[in-house]
Amino acid sequence: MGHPTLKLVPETSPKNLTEADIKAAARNDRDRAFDLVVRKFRDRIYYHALYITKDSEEAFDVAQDTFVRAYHESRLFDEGFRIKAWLFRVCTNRCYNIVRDKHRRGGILDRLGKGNDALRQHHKAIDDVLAREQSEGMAAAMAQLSEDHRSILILRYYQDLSYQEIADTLGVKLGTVMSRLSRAKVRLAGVLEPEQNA
Amino acid sequence: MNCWRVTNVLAPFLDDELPDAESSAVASHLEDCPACRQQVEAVAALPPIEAPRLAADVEQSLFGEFDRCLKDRIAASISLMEPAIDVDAPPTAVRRSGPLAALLPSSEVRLRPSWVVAYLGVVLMLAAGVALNHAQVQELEQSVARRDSLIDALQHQVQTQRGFAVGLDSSLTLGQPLLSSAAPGAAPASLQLGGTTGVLPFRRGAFEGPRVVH
Repeated sequence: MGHPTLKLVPETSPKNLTEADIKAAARNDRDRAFDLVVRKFRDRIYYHALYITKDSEEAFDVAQDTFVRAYHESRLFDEGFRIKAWLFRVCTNRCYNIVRDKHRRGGILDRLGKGNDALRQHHKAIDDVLAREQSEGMAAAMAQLSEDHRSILILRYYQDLSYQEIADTLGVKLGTVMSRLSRAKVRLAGVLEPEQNA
Repeated sequence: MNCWRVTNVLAPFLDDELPDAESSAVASHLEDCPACRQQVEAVAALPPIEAPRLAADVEQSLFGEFDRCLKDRIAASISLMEPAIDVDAPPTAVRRSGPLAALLPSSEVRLRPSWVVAYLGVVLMLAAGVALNHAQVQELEQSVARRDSLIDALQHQVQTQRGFAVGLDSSLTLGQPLLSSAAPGAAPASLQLGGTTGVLPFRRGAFEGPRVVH
C-alpha cells in the first residue's frame, strides 16, 4: 500500500447507471441493486464526508454508516425516492454531528478502538496530505466560511449536484439554495481578494 | 430588481440557472449599478472550485477495503436485527437442579384440567363475593333513604304545628275558650288538635321561632 497522494483528477465515476436503472434492477434482485448503489455513490459519499470532517477515518466510518442505513431503508428503491439526495443528506447530517461532537470532546477520544492498524496508517497519510492541501489556496479560503456556506459550495462544486439536488439534500427550498450559494460565493471572493492583492 | 435581489441570485445568474425574464432583469440592473457589477465581476473571476481527489491507485486500495468492511458491517447489522428467540419453536423444559429438584413440578408448560377448574372456581367465588357485597350496599342505601324520608315528614309536621301556634299567639290567652262569642255557660267550641279539645296544648314560652309581624 503506497503513500496516498492527493491530486486533481477528473471525475472517474463510471457510473453511467441512472437511479431508474437501479430501481429496475431492484425488482428482480434487491441485493444486486444495492451493490449498484454502493458502486455508483461510494466514492462521492466518502469524499463528501472527507471534505466536511477533514478526517479520513471519520469519513470512512460515516460513509459506511450511510450505506448500512441505506441497506435497511425500506423506501430506497421506491418510485420517486431520490437515492442520491437521501445518501448525501444522511452523510451530511452525520458529518456535522461528528464535527460538532469533536469540538465538544476536543478530539481526545477520537482514535479509540477503531479500524485495523494498516487502515489507520492509510487514513493518517490521507489526512496529512489533505491538511497540506487545505492549508493553501481555495481549500484554505473555504475553510474560513461558515458551515452553511462551505457545505453548499462542496455540494455544488465538489459533488457537482444540481440546484434541485442540493435543495433535496439540505431540505430547503430552491430559492434558498440560490441565495445561499450566491452569498457563499460573494463571501469566498471577499476572503480570497486580500490574498490575491497581497 | 434591486441590489439585494441581485446579490441573492448572483450564482444562478452566472450558472445560467435563472429563468430568462429574471436573467434579463439582472442584466439590466447591472448596466445601471456599478456596485453590483463589481460584485458580479469579483465572483465571476473566482478560480475554479475543484475537489481534491486521491490518486487512482490509492482510491482503488481504499475502496477495496471499504467494500470488505461494508460487507462485514451489513452482515453484523442484519444479525443484530434478527430475533434472539425463535418464537415458533416448541417450548422446551427447563431442567431443575438441587436437592428439591425431585419435589418440584416439571417446568414444562401444560394446560391441566384440574388447574383450569381451580382457576374457574376462584374466579366464580370472587364474582359471587362482589355481587353479594353490591346487594348489601344497595339494601343499606335504601334503609338510609327510608330513614331520611321519615325525618323529613316529622320535620314537616313539627313546622306545621309551630306555624299554627304562632298565628294564634297574639289573640289567645292560655286557658280561654277559642270562641269568645259563644254563649256564657255553653261548652267551648272544640278545636281538634291531635285528638285533644278546646284549649291550646302548648305553653307560650315554648316557642323560639321568629315572631310573625302582621
